[in-house]
Amino acid sequence: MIIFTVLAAIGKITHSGSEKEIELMQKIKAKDADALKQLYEQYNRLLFGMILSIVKKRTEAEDVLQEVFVNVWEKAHTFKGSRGNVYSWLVTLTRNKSIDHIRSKGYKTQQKASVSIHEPAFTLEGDKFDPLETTIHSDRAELVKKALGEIPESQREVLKIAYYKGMTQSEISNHLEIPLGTVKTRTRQGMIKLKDILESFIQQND
Amino acid sequence: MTNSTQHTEHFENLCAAYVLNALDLEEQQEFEQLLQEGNEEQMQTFYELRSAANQLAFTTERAEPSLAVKKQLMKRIKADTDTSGTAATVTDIKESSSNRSALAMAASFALLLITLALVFYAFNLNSEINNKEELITQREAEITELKNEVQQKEELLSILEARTVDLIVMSGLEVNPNGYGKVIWDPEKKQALLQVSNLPAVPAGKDYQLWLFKNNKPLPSGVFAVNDPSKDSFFKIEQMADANEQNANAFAITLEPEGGSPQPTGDIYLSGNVERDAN
Repeated sequence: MIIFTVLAAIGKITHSGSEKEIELMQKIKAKDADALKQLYEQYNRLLFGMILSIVKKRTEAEDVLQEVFVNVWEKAHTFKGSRGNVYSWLVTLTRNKSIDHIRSKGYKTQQKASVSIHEPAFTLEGDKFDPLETTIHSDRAELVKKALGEIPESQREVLKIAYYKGMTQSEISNHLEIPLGTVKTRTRQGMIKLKDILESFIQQND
Repeated sequence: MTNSTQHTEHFENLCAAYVLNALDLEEQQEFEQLLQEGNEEQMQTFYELRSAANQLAFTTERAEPSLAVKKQLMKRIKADTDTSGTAATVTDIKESSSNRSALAMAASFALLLITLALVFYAFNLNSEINNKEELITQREAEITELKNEVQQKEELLSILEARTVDLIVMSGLEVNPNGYGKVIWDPEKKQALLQVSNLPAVPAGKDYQLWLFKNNKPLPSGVFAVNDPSKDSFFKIEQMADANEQNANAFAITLEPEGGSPQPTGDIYLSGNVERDAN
């Protein structure tokens, strides 16, 4: 637990910039293009990595990334600072866009089912990034990975497929050849466990 | 298991899958409906599970998108800014509209100057036209006068062209000794041309009258008026009394009541005898 405490402290520092991000969102709301550029600079690698892990194809992932930020520009007024911070809002938006993309008819017809339950093996491009950003990102990633490691394997497997592959519970049930009810139970138990491990260390709504 | 526990478990089942985007469309709609009606505890659960799910984003490796994405994004944003009427663009619009209004003011000023110049030019032109028109009217009057003069001269010439004409020179008598005049008479055509000089302008209600004395009897031969004594006056007389140089004695001009008299009543101003042909 000591490692969690240290990592969580770093995690909190990471988001000490939340207010600055909220200010950025206010500017974007007022159609300040420079503010959008700043937000893009700050989040594009994290969000692109996320999208790529789900969408797989680079060009399509780039399209989705662009759509995400166009959405940020157009829907900035729907961002409520009181109900979550910018990170949470952006990640949710990006997840939704990525999932929408892979569940679209066009994507399904071209996508051959090749499922791996492991995290996507993308090349770590840390050297290209800002060292501080890289450190913070790595630390937070370490914290979450460790938290995942605490969760029973059967539950972790379901969470990983859902998160990294963007599969629905029905699809997971088919894929793992286990009853849908089991998938639902494992999802609930796994997520509650993850929340319980992380909530003492990470600000809510992160 | 109580209903309440079942209900909580159902909510958590849906919520855990929802934050992972793992619900089918139908269940997703069901959960969103539940969330709208959710109590404080359920909302708290939702926020906590969503926070936990969002942390998974950190476990994916970051990746660098191509620069084209940013470029394309900013291009789209700019296009949107250019076409939308948002607060930020209002500044631009204001700036550009102020530029436009400065330009418009300059254009208006230039237009005003051009208009004033044109008005001034038009005024001058109009004035010049008026002057020209006046000159033309003046010239036309002169032309008319000259035409009349030419006509008179032509008439004079036409009478002079006659094979036989008599010239009777008239002199002023006592009432107007400086006066003089001539009658060029064509007895055949019963026409004559009268020229008078230095006759006083006719008083109101009076006219001069020419008389042809035939066998010593005065025959009225035309009424005329002189308005400008300084100029010679020419008159063409037609339908004169039937006479010839054998029976005609003299020509005389008297001042008579306006319109003339059947017999001479006033003073004789000019008179001259008809010279009989020696042959």
